[in-house]
Amino acid sequence: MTNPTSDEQHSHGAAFVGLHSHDGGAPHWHDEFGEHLAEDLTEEEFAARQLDWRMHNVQLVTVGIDIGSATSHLMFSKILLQLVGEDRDVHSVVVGREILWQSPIMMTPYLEDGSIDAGALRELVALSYLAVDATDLDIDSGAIILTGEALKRENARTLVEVLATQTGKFVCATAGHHLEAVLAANGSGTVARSRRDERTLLNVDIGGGTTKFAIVRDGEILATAAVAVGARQLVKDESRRLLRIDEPVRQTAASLGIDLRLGEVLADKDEASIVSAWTKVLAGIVAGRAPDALTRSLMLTDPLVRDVAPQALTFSGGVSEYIYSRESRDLGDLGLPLAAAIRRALGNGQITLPSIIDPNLGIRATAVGASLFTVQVGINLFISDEAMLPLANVPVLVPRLDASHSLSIEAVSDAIRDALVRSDLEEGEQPVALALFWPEDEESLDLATLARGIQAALPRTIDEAVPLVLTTNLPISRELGSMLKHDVGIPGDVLAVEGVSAAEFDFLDVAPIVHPSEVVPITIKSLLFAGGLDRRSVKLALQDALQAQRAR
Amino acid sequence: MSPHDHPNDHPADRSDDQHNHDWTDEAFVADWLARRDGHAERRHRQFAIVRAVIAKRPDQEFRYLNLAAGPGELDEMLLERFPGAVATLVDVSLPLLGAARQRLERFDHRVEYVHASLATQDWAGGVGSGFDFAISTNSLHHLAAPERVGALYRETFALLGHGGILLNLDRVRPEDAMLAPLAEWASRDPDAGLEGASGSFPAMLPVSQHLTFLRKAGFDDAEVLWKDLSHALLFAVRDHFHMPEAAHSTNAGHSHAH
Repeated sequence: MTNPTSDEQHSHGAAFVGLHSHDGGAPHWHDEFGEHLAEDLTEEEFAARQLDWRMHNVQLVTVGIDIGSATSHLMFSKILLQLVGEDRDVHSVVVGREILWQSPIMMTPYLEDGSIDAGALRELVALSYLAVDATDLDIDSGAIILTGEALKRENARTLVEVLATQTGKFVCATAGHHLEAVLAANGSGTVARSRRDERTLLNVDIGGGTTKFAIVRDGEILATAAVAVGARQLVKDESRRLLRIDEPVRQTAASLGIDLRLGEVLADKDEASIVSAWTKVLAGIVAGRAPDALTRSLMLTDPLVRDVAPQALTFSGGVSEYIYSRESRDLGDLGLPLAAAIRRALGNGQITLPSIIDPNLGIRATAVGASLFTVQVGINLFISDEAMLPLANVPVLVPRLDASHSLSIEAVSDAIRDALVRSDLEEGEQPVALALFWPEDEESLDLATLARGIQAALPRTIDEAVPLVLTTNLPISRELGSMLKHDVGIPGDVLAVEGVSAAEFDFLDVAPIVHPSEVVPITIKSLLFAGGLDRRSVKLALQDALQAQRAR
Repeated sequence: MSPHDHPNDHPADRSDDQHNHDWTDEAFVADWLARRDGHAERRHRQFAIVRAVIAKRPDQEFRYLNLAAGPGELDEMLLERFPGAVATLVDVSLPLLGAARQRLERFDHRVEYVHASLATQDWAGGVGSGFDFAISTNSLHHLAAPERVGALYRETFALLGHGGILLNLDRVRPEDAMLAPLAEWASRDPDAGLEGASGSFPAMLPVSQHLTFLRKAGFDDAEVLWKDLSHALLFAVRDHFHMPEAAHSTNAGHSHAH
């Protein structure tokens, strides 16, 4: 966003300055090198600048697929990351996002037994690829986000098998309530807007099964929560006979003295009472009121922590399409009446905060967020052999290193072994990624001890030359990688990177090095689950699917 | 026509509820917009005056805030004239903002929409800051009380950047109430193109009161740029007023966005 106060402050003279800043602001490049083509350059100068730009800018093409209770859609995006800082303080920032193509919103297809029709979804993906003439070779990474109904055990297994293995670069991240809230806040533009305007915003993502809340201050997500309010919990046929009643809506109706029964007609006044009660629940959470009995019974997480009061609201999710009049079709669920009730609440002062109307990303917020959120770049690499990449589905271990005592080989080794136990992994059976976090500065970390501790913890990995990935929060990756490979002398390949934030139970996909910026795109598969699906069962589903793929 | 029902106006808050105006109702808003069409010529002239006093070259980038923007007619004129302009539209009515979105669709990401009532200070949390202009047309006289106009000027002042300008084209009443019927009288001469029936609204103020409020809000300069018998265009600047360089002057470098 521009905010020029005078022309002079925002003008370049004749000389282009590459990575630069204005008035102490953040260092930046311009979006495209082509902006400066009009300058009078020799061929050599032009080539040098192009190389300089390419060394500091990474473009990734990503795919986001959002499979929710009510709707599914797919989106191809281009993300521009820039490397800023110098020497050992380089880090990457997302500076641009361009939506290359997005599919129409389709109703998530269900089979007669109530499970998701994976074949129809496969068709959506295939048609989408055809529409943009893309093959998986064009895609740097992709994320499939399963929410609501799609999270149920059998559906997740089927979808993982059908979609996650369809192309090698896809991620299957099933989102829990908190992660969904984070994705929606990112995808709706709320995080970026909050950072830009230095405002505290509350994103309310109203989907088919749940409503997710995220409080964002100056671009940082401070708190998230979810409540079981969603449009698709109740479905009627054309004569208003009930085809589907989920437990939370049944519970809401019961609290109002309404008895919902499958096959019976839903009275207009009962529908109005239900959406009115839900709107009151949402308005109460927005206003930070103490939860009433219905709100308490519908909360799926702890209540939203409101240490900082939001200044404005943003809405995303399928119901926001109705709130902002971008959609008017009656899909036989509660989307239309719930949105009408929320519009009334906004109009009559029941909800008093200003609401910012987003730029057409409402229902697509999760998919956009997924494509942004899951891709990071590893920088300051040590890599023993580029041929070790790509790597897929590398489980992340987070050894709990104790910085309050001096590090010993045994302590490091024990911490890694404990992490293996927590993740239910046998070392040596597959590559692993050690996410090393040291809360103090690098001077207090004995790298030789750390390297020997890793060696002691992973004997089979080392003996069988299984590749090893290391991520570090400190600028030590090159030194540590080199020490393991050359001083300790482990025979397998080693990749050590900085700039990646991964958590225990995540999986990493590591793409080949991008030249000349010398970074590796890394996709984080965050397996955070809700709705009765635990991490282990999805991990097993993923492994089963991969085995099935190999067998084919 | 009731003075509260003048189709050139739209409210800045929800204070018109007592007149059965439901600004959340699509049908009511559609009817109101249709009745408004009969006054398009006068409105266009007023908006052209607002546009004319925006001292920006078409190639300059700037951000403006439109308070109680309604269906976006003024914005269409401004965004057409100034390709470097980015607008934030604030309105209390979702149907009106919907109409604005339709009208301004071709300007895409140059427009942001914020649903808020100007009745309290909360609205300011929904918009950014550092604006180059804050504009309002035919709306603030609907606020619940004169003091609210003064408070709104203070809130707006805080959202403007250095050199930021407030432009409020609004219904005003004469300093001397005895002169109020004169507007009605003068409007009978169609050649003059004057508007009568200025009516009575809680926050319809004489220009002197507006100027006092503007100066108290912190604005360095406050002026009446244009006035007829029922309306005035008030102008106030934060810090110092800057005229742009003449359009024919060139810069060795180039301007760009951050």
